[in-house]
Amino acid sequence: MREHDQNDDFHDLELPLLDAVQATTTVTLPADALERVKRRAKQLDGPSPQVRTTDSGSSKAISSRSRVSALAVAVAMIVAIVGGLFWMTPVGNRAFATVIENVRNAESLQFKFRYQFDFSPAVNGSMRIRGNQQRIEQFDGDLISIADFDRKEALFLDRQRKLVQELKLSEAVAESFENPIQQLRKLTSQDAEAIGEELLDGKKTNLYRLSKVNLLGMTGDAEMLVWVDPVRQLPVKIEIRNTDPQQKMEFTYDRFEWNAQLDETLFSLNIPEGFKRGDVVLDPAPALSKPSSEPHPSTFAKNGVLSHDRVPARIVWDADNRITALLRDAESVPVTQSQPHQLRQWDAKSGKLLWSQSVHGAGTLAMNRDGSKLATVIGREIQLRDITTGQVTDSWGTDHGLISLAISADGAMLAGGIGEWGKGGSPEAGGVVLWNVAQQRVLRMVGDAAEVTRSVRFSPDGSLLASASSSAIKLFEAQTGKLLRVFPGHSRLAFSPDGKSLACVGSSSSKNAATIDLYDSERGKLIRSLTTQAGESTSTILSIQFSPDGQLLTAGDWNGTVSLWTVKDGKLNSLPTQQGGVHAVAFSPDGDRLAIGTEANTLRVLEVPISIVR
Amino acid sequence: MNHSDPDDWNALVEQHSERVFRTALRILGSVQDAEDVSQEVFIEAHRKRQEIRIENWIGFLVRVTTLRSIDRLRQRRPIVAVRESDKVSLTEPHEQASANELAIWMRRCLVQLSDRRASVFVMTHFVKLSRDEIANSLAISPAAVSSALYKARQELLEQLNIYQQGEAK
Repeated sequence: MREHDQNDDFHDLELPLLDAVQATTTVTLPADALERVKRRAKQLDGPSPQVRTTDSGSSKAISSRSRVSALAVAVAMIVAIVGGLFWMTPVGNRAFATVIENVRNAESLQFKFRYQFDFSPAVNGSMRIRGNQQRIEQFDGDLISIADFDRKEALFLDRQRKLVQELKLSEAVAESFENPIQQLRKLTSQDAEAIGEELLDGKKTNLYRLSKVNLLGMTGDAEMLVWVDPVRQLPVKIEIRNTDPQQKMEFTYDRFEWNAQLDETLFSLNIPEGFKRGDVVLDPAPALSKPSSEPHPSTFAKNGVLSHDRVPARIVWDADNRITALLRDAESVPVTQSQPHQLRQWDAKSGKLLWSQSVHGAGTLAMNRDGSKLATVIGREIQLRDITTGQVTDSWGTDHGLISLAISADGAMLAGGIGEWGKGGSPEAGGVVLWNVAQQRVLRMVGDAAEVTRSVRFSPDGSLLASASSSAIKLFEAQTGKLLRVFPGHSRLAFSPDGKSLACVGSSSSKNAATIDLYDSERGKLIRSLTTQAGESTSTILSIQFSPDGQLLTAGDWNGTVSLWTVKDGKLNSLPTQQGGVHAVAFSPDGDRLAIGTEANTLRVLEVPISIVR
Repeated sequence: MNHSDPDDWNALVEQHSERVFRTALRILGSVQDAEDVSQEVFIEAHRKRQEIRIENWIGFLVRVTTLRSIDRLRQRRPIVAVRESDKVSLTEPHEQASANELAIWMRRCLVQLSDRRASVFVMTHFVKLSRDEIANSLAISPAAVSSALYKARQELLEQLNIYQQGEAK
């Protein structure tokens, strides 16, 4: 597969297959049939019965609940009055007031949970709640805990040993029944902040971050993320995690079934037949090793995992210490289960997720140095996004398929590297297209229109533009498009922060190692060749970057190696080999840390070893 | 490229219906089936549009059209692998095989590929999308597209080889 990563002959087809494809695709499009298709499709946009059904369905659900419980009506009224006070607060808060109201009104629910403490095996289980009764099943149902908060009694069952233990529901015992729903009921809408929209299982959800968390020892800097079904206004997923990624402490709750029919016997405190009394839980807080509630330092962990659910294919760490990443599914995820790509941003100081947006098939992203402009490409559309929310603020179309993107430091120019492959497999279009961002106007096309551009970069002062194809790296004057110099190299490049040197991926003598050549960008002279340590498989450099002070250079390789060189003497320091290919590397603004995105669904932050003397 | 206002359904239909219909027709080879699938695709698109903001309409429509068409192809034709036993069923030499027969062969083989491989092959060679466009559309990595395409070709070539050997007899 790796051998095919960089094949340009994408549309090339063996002759007999080409015949078959041509035979299959040579069909005349009957105009009358096409007209019928259009006419029927347009008729779909009449009054939508679906929307009406959904609306009436949800209001019916609320009214029936209200009829059932007079208390619920009272709560709803109070919440409505309180909710009215929020009319001037942001939309996210108002919307969340409804969610809290619906959570309080729910008569029963069941959901699955997963607790992850450090690197010990995750604890999976399910929870059912009905009124003031609760049932938790863990370890494949072998440990069952039942509580009745009205009677202040609890029952613990060990189904393996057929043992049962009855306990008074003291404060300590009650802790083992803690759940995020209790948290939600206690919160006010002002504790919630809307941070984006995401698709979960193909359905749109609104994502909120809650600031007050106190659950199973997680307090303070912990954050609670709640994904809400916008139609029912009820949570569909909740995640609570310690924002210190080194601790890797995370509680996930999902597969919520609100107002599920739950049988009375599930919550029975009677001793089941065949069970004997015994110690099921010696510690009043059973089953879970409770984490320390000591608040961790507010600084971001030195070496930690920031995200571990999707592949960070592109990472930008901006001057304001925010990490923005484009995340997608790992290649191993079957297409039928694939989820849309996501654009997420974290505060690198606290590790907190600032926002998250579904971006479907975004292929690449770019940001200028001060982080004031963020751009993505989806299909043949370029989107400028608000750096603080990730939402599209502006977009424009292009005739070219873009596979790489760069924004000049001042944010005035945007360069798109073109990559299209045509019939017969040869590159059909290439080169670079330059836009004036403010006017969304094409300034000029530069480079060879037949050479696919894999990477494009502006020099820090914006005067130069460099593009990398699979056979050469070219340097242009950005203002005029004049070709200044051609360097031997391919695929990836990086400018040093002073713009004086250009790092280019060069040809290597070893299949499993790569060479990065450093050139004087003005004179074109080779300054130094840097070689990576040989990895376990074929080397393909996917990302290179200079540290902000220009003293270090890093390269991430598809074979898992991450290399770090001191530029002045070319000394190589290999960082630990990463599981899965390395797609992206990015230095922190102070140059002390590196963000690494791997195919193993990991966005990791590593401290640059102190031994590296600059 | 013209981008229609996503709120303007009629403009969206006008802009994309030909691509949807052509894609379906190429995969299915039957106008009636292609019309039906196109209608299904637009119904799905109309419903999705009310639930979420679709940012890449071409990618979405091509993906849904491809998958629905392959589904229909599977329903329509009994899945019979081109095996050794099939060799005798074809008598004409390859040189004389009509385009029609090749197209039938192609569709019969397509339904035997996995969804991913079939979609990637169709999007590459029937719809002529670039690797990145396919990656965008299927929300997979370009490397995964290349890998699926490579494997699809190998499988098809293997089947074609058997087909041609059968014809040569």
